[in-house]
Amino acid sequence: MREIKKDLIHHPVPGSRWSHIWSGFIGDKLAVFALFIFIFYCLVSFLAPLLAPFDLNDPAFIDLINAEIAPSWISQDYRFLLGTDAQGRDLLSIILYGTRLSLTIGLCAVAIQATLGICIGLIAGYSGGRIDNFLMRCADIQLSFSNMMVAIVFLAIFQSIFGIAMYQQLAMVILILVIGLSEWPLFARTVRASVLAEKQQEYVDAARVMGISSKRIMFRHILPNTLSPILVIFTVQIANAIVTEAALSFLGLGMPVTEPSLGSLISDGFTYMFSGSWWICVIPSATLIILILAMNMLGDWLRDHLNPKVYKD
Amino acid sequence: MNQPLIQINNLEKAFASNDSWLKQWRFQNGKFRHHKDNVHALNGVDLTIYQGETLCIVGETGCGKSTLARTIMGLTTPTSGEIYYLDQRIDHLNNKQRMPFRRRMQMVFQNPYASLNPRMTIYQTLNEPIAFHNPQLTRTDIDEKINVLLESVGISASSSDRYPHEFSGGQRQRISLARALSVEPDFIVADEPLSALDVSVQAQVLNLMMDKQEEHNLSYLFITHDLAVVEHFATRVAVMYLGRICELASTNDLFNSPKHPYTRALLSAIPRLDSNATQPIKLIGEVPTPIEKPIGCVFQARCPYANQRCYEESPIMLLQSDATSVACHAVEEERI
Amino acid sequence: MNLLSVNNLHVSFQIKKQELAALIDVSFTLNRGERIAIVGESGAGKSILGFSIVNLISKPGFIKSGSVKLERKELTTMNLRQLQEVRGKRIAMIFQDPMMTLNPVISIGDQLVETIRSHTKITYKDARNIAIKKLQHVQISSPEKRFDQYPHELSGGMRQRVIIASVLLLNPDVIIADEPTTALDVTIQAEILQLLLDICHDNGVALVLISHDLGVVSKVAERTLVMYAGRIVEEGPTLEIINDPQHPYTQGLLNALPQMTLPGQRLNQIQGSMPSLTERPTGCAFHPRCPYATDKCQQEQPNFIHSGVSSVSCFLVEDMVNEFADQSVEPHE
Repeated sequence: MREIKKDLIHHPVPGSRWSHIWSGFIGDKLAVFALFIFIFYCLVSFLAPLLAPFDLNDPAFIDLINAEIAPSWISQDYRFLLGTDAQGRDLLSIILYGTRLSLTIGLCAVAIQATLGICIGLIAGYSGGRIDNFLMRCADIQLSFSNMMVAIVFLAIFQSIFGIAMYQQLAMVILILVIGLSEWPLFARTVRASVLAEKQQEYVDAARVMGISSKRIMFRHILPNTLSPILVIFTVQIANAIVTEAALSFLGLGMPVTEPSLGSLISDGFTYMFSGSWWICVIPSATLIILILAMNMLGDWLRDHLNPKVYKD
Repeated sequence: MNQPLIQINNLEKAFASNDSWLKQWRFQNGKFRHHKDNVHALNGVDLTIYQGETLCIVGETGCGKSTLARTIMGLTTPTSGEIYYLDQRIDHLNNKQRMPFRRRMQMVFQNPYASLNPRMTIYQTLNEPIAFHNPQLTRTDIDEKINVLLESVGISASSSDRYPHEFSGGQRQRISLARALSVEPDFIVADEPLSALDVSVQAQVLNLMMDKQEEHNLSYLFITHDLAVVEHFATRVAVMYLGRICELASTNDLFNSPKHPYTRALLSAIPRLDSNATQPIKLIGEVPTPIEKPIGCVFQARCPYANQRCYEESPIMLLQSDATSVACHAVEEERI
Repeated sequence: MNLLSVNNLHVSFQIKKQELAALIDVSFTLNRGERIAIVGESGAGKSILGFSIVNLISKPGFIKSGSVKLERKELTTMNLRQLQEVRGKRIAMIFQDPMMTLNPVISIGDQLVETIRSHTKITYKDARNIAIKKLQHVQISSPEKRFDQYPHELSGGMRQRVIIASVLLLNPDVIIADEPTTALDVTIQAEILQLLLDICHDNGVALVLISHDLGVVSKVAERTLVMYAGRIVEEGPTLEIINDPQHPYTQGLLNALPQMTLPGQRLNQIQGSMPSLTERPTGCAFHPRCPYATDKCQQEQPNFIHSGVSSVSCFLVEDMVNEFADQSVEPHE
């Protein structure tokens, strides 16, 4: 038997793809900054019960005597670092809990969007033909409805049928469901486009020739190759979901007063904007804006750097 | 002669073109007619592949050689015709029924950059077929098998946790070959495996394929447009044009005495290093897209020897005196 | 005077604090109407050489040193406006994939007309006539009909002809063709090569053909340069290089062709592979793969010397030449 000489492996790309991305990431200070802000937000909101100076469920929390106290650097009242709102609630605590709520809703809603969208997109793209047509028409119908309009109608109907009390109990879950089920077409379309491209590649043919089942090919072979655009959309959609929830709360259709999210805080505080107590609206708004900015910056950076062409030979 | 491994009878494949629904209706003669354009990729192919041989299919873009490969491997179903693997019919099987044949027939593709999943390490790429077809093997057995396989194609086993983009084109092609060999097939279809590689790398990969053929008694269906490789590697050669086989001969016979006008033109067009003197035979026109089902000989539009019979009647493959087969009226009528 | 002369060209890439040399000390000349070929495998740097002649190298690549002169004008120091006068008008490029060069949403005729009218003030009708004449010149049948077709409606060979037509519109002095026929079928390839040959001959246009296919090269080029790992390792008349290659790499390349081995025998392969930019070996870049390598080859870079009608960069050849020279000057008793 003839001997095959061993080949020297040379590495045209040093290290793996992820180390490449990581080193690019560290180099881009803005991206690091954005990530830092996002992690900071996640941490403090997760640890809200520990960090908040006041407990939300404490009856002494809402004390009208403390209403509308300005932030500590103005009023010199150091009990309330960022001041209080119209009902005497400590703004810092309520912002911490509110951020936690907003982030939870954002993450869960996008998780639903992504799961639903990815599955539908994969099936539509890989199957082609009638199934593809049908699913994409469903997506088109979904997209033709304005999300806000659907949310408003649905929530209003729900409230009127089941009453405010029931609604307030289930508010978070319902919001997550509504936002989650309304934007899956975005994921579905993106995934489908990627699948259509990947389907032509020869490694899919090789897997078919091996006898691998369609389901396994879809999830194990094609899906990992479609992840780059999904990751980008994911970050931006979290930001969008938080803003949508804030808008709904602003309209009074979101979280109840007892469990305020950033949006409802902004909404409630708006009436006090020009009557002197500007901090009730401005400080939660600033918190929300910074969070959204950070997420969008992360999303932008991911889009630029996960471009597969950079890693194609 | 050995036993026939693959038998293909009158294989036809037409692809429906992607016209939108509206375009399919034409207004003709005062009425709406529903008419779907088809691309006729294969127009009646008869072929036998024997055990242990290397059959090369040569042809240009649009001749249907890739479609032929894909139809044999079950990636598309033929419109009509039969394919037999050792007397068992395999052309219209579903996935489940085809499973026992998947082990025996494997494929190597043209593009080394797309034939390996970029998100899987080569360990995972090789592990999948082995684990899938051999559920009884333990993890250590599989690991050993993978290492042996990699070493046998000249890739060091310690690099099995690397991703495809960390390898060169030639190395990737060798990994693809390893993947095809992992299930221990009898028959490998290679669809232009060398086209994307440099000359010196082609030599490496071709040597490897020849070695493997000797080791495992493989049969190859080798599709290529590089006639130098064909001359070196093939036992028999089939020349395809527009979905039909024009000429089928042993390598020596084809290169020493080509009979079909297309074969002659093809051979004269190769830029060879030695024969600077031969003028290439100029063919009229370009290779057409086979949208209409051809009536008469598929080569009629570009053939310098075409006569009336060629326009009406499609020639069948006739056995010549030196055991080659040619489908050409002019050859039959001894006009050439 | 030479039409084009490249002297000691160095092109490097700046990748993350590392400077990687892509072209090292490349020199050659091109006369009016001459046809040369640059041969090498992937990673040798032949495409980069083609691009750097017209200064088309973009970040992170840059021309580190050396000169590229078109007649007497120095191209490496020109600004963008001056370069635009040179590109297309004096030095034209043809790329491998015609679909990349042609705009898919504009008909080919309009693209040709656009080129004409951007350099001369004439009416659309006159420009159209010129374009159709040029299409005829490159042997496209029924050019009036083709004028209105879009690139995707044409076959690969036709598109390449359209590119050649568009290149000829400006009457360049030099055409740089980067693998123009690699993506085409064999019969079409033969025709396109013949077309290039005829055009260069009829119009006195010089040709720089970049290819990895020695067969293609042998049909078209009078002189050939063989590149390996960013350097020119051998240069000479094409027939000479093919029949009597001197550099071990050229020999290996020719030996690896299937035509060079008896059918059924193992092909002669060159061990190892072309080093990437980051892993260039010390001394002669080919020494890890060379069957004749000595210690000197690992330590020093050989000079580019004349050997007969060719020039080679190899210590082995240098020693043989010196030996031959010594022998010939030995005094006769």
